[in-house]
Amino acid sequence: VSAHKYLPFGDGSVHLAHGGPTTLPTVPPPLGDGTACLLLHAAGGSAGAWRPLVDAIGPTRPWAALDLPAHGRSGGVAGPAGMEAVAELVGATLSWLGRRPVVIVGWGLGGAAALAAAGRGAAGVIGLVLVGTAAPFAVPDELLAVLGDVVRGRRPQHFGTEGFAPTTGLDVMKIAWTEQVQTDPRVWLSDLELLARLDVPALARGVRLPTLVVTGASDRFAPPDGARALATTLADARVEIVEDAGHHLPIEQPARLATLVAGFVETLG
Amino acid sequence: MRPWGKVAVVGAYEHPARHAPHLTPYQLHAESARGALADAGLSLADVDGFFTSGVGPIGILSLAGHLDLHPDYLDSSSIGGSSFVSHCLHAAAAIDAGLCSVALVTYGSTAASSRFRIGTGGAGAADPPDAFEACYGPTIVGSYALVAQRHMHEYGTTSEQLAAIAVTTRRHATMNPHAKYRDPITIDDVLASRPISTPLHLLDCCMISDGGGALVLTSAERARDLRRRPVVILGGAEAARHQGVGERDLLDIAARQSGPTALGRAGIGHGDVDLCMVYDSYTITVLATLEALGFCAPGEGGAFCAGDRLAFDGALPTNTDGGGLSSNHPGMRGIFLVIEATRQLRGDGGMTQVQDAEVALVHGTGGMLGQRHSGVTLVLGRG
Repeated sequence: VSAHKYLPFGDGSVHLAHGGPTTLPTVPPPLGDGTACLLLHAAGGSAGAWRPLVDAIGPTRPWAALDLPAHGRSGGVAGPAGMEAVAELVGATLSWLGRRPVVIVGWGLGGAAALAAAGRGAAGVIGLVLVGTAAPFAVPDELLAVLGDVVRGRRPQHFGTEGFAPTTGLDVMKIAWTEQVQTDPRVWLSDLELLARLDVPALARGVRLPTLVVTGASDRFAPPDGARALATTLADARVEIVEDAGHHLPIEQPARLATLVAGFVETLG
Repeated sequence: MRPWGKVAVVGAYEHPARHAPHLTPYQLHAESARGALADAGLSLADVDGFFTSGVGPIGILSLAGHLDLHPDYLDSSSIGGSSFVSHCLHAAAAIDAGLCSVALVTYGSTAASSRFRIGTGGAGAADPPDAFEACYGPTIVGSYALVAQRHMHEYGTTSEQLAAIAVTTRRHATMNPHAKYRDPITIDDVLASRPISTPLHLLDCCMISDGGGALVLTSAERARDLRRRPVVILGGAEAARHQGVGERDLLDIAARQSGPTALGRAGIGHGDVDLCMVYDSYTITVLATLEALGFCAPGEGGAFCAGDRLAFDGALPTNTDGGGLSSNHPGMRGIFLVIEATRQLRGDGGMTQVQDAEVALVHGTGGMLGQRHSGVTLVLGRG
C-alpha cells in the first residue's frame, strides 16, 4: 500500500507516491530506515508503473516515486521541455523529503533525469540505478509517427508491443498499458522527442557517483550496446543485461531488478 | 418587476487548471470563488446568495460548508451544462426581488483526471423516460450526431462546414495561454481525425478537461462602487425541449424559444450583438444554436459558419476563448461562456479581443440536442 503527497512546484503541484506511514499534507513522510530509493518513471509513464518493483523489493526498503509534471497524477498539460527543470524538481523533492542517503532509480527518461540531478549535485544521493537508459536513446521513428497520429486524433491510443521482449505475455503488457493511459499521449510524444534529441553523454560526463546500468536484452529504446556506451562515459559504472526484458523491464522482470537494486544498495554501505 | 439592466456581473474568474489531479472539485470551486471575489473587490462575508450545480442533490450544502458561506438564498438548479448561465438569470431575478444582494456562482470539476467519460459513456437510467431510451444504449455524442445527420440530410450541410467551426475555435485557442489545445488545425485535420459518431470526428467534439470558474453578481447600483467595470444583464430566457418517442424533430432546438425571448427582453436585435458565446459541445451545437437563435435562416447555418465569420475579427465573433472544443470543458461549460463574455465586454479579451464589444449574447445548452435539453440565453452589455 502506498501513500500520496502533492508538492507545489512551478505553477502547479506534482504527485509523490511513497511507502511507509502517511503524514499530514505539508509534513514530509518519514519513508522508513536506511537508504531510500527515489523512483523516476519513463517517458509517458507515471509512478504507478513502479508498483511491481516496489512489491518485489518488499516493505523494508524506503521508497518514493515522483510523477513528473503532466504525468500520472501530477498537474499540468505539458511535459518537461528540458532536463534542467526535471533536475530542479528532483532536487526540490529530495530537499523537501530531507532524506539522506538516497539512491535514484531512473527508467528511460527518468534515468536521464537521474543523471541530470546527480550532475547538479543533488543532496544526499549516494548512487544511481539507470534502467533502460542509453547513450544515445534509440527512439523508433515509427513510434513517433504513430504517436503523432494519435495526438492529431487520427488513430486511437497506441497499445504497442515495441516496449516488450518477445517472450513477455499479454497479462504483463496489460499492466503497462493500464499505466500508460494515466498520461496524455501528447506528453508521451513530447517526452520521446526530448529523449531523441538529448545529449546523454553530456549529462553523464560530470557524474562521479557509483552507478548501476541495467537494461533489457530486448530493449529497443535503450539497447544493450547503448547502455554499455553510457557506462563508459560514467566514472564508476557497472552494466547488467537482463534476459527476457524489453524497455518495460521493471514490469517484465521486477524480481530480477529488485535483486539487482538491493545488491547495488548493499555495496554502497 | 423586471431585472433587465438592474443587475451586473462584477467579478469573474476562470481557473487556469486544465489537468489538475492534485485538486479536488471543491478546491476548484473554492479557488475560483476566491478569484472572482478578489476580482470584484468583495469577500466571502459579502455573499448572501449562492448558486452552483454539478455537486450532487444536496451538494450545495456541503459546498456552502466548505466555503463557510451563510447565504440567505440558495439555488442548485441542474439543467445540464447550461446550469451556470441559468444561475446568472436566477441571480438577477433574486437580486432584483431583494432575496439576496451579492450572488456567488461557482463551478469546479475534475472530469478529466477522474476519467469521467462524458460524451461516450452509456446513459444512466435515472429518469422515467430512460426506461424507454437507455436500454438502446444511446450516448451523448450519438444524439448530437443524429442532429448533424439530420441537418446534412435536410439542408446539404457538409462535414467541411462543421470542421470550419473547429478550425476557427482552435485559432482562438492558439491565442489563449491557458487553452488545453493550442496547435493550429486545418479543415483537413478535422476530417482526418477519427470518427467518433458519424458524421462527428474527434476534432468536432469538445475535450474533457479539469477546470473551474466563478462569477459574482450584484445590483448595477452597487456595482458602480466596485473595482471592475460592470457587465450588465440586459435580458435572458430559458427553454426546454423534450422530444418524446415518435414525435422527434431533431432540429427543434431550445434556442429557438429562448433566443428571441431574451433579445426581446433586452430590447435589441441580432445586428446589435457584437459577439456570441455559444456552448460548443460539438461543432453541430454551434451551427444549430446560431441558426436557432436567428442569426441566419434555417438551413443556412453551414454556409454561415464557414470561412472566418466566427473569428474574433470576423462578422460574428464566437467562442473567442477557444471554447470547449479547444480551451476547456470539464463537463458543464456554461460558466465559462459568461466569464469570457465578461472579459470581452470589459476589454480584457487579450489577443482575441473583439473591437468595441458592447453587447454579448451567451447561449448555454444542457442535456442533449436531439433528446431532452435546455437552452439558456443571456444578453450582456458593457456597463
